[in-house]
Amino acid sequence: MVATVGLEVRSGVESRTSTEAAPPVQAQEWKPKIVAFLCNWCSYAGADLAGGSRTKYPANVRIIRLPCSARIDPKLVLKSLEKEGVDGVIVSGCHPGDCHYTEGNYYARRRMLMFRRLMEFLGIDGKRVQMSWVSASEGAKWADVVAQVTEEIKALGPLHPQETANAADHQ
Amino acid sequence: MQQITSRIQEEARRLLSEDLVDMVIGYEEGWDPSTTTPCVVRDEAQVSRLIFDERCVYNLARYLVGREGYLTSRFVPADKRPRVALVARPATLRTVSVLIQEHQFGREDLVILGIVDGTASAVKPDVEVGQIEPDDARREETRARVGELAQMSASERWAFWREEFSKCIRCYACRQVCPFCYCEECIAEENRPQWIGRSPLPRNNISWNAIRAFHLVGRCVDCGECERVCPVDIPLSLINVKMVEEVAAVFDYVAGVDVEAAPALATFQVDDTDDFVR
Repeated sequence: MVATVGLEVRSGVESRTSTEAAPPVQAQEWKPKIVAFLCNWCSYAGADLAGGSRTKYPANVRIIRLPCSARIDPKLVLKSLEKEGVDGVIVSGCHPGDCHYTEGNYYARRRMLMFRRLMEFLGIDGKRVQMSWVSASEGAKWADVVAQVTEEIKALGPLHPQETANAADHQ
Repeated sequence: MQQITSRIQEEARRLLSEDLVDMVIGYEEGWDPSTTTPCVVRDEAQVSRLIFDERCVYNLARYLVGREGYLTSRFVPADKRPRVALVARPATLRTVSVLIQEHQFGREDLVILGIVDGTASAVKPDVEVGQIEPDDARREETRARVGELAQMSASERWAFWREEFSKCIRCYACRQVCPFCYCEECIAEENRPQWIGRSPLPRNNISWNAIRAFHLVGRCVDCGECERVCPVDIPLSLINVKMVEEVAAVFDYVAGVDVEAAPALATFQVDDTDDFVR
């Protein structure tokens, strides 16, 4: 049975029912699943450039495009982390001073820092909530960010060990 | 304490008899000797109900805001809203400061009969009806426990909070009692999309408590009401106090000490710390 890919928005039940057919989890290397929230104007274009210029980077990241990094409410991040199978989140926007809406990324920076501190206090490693500035011309930087974050989250292991073992369907 | 009671009654009588306010929100004897309860006095003859002692802990600012708040209710036209006098503990004074910062109402909309303890607050009472000892012991204890938790490893903290949140029965008492939870529609009730699952499963509880805590970042004045009302004794103050400390350390901002300041997450500095950003 082919398991759902991407965000696995409603995969709680499905992925569990697919366990029988799936090979044991040890048989394949565990690959973290990362959700990236990118602002439309810089980071998304940067990621697009990375793709367009055929830059290789880990395919662990699922990109969601939003108008501005200030649109990225921490509840979106929390909702992602809550879903079984998502091990980390990247929030990315324009460099300070370059925001398409002049100041959105400054608000996002404050918010994400506090959210990260809150997550750390609750016991979720802050490395699972990452933030980056990637401009439209920084395709290579985007590739680097994804590679680094993937490595860091790989080192941390699954956020939901139980569900991940159940799902065992990482492409 | 007896003195504070008589001062409150005296002031309430004056305000009501001179028609300076329509109502006084204060405390009265509860249903058994161990409790008091909030009360609203609109009539001079009822003023003797008002009391104050160490059992009067509630943050009465809750009655000012929200869908049914006396100063903000959308069911009452602005020119028909009552003129309110509020008996305010020290934490309530700080709460009122933040609510004014958040443009819920103006300082002139409210007469404050304040009980002070020397802690900093932007809003000063119109009438100081008494002084009490600061609750330093409770604050110290909370800070110490926050420190202990911060010393633990991430997985120990995770285990601690998982255990605590698993007790949550999603009664939302913490939200109902919090004067800063004045949204007309809470995110917990939104269902398209549904941000927080309604049933009290562990992961839904974590989401609810994390979102509740995040919505108080830079706003909480640590009145301790959420923890007090929690029927399953989740130590919510630990999270709130931790975030108060973080906001103070990172943004040099303390809620409730400056009415003119913008709330921490509603503003920014161009040179805010960047060191966690790649």
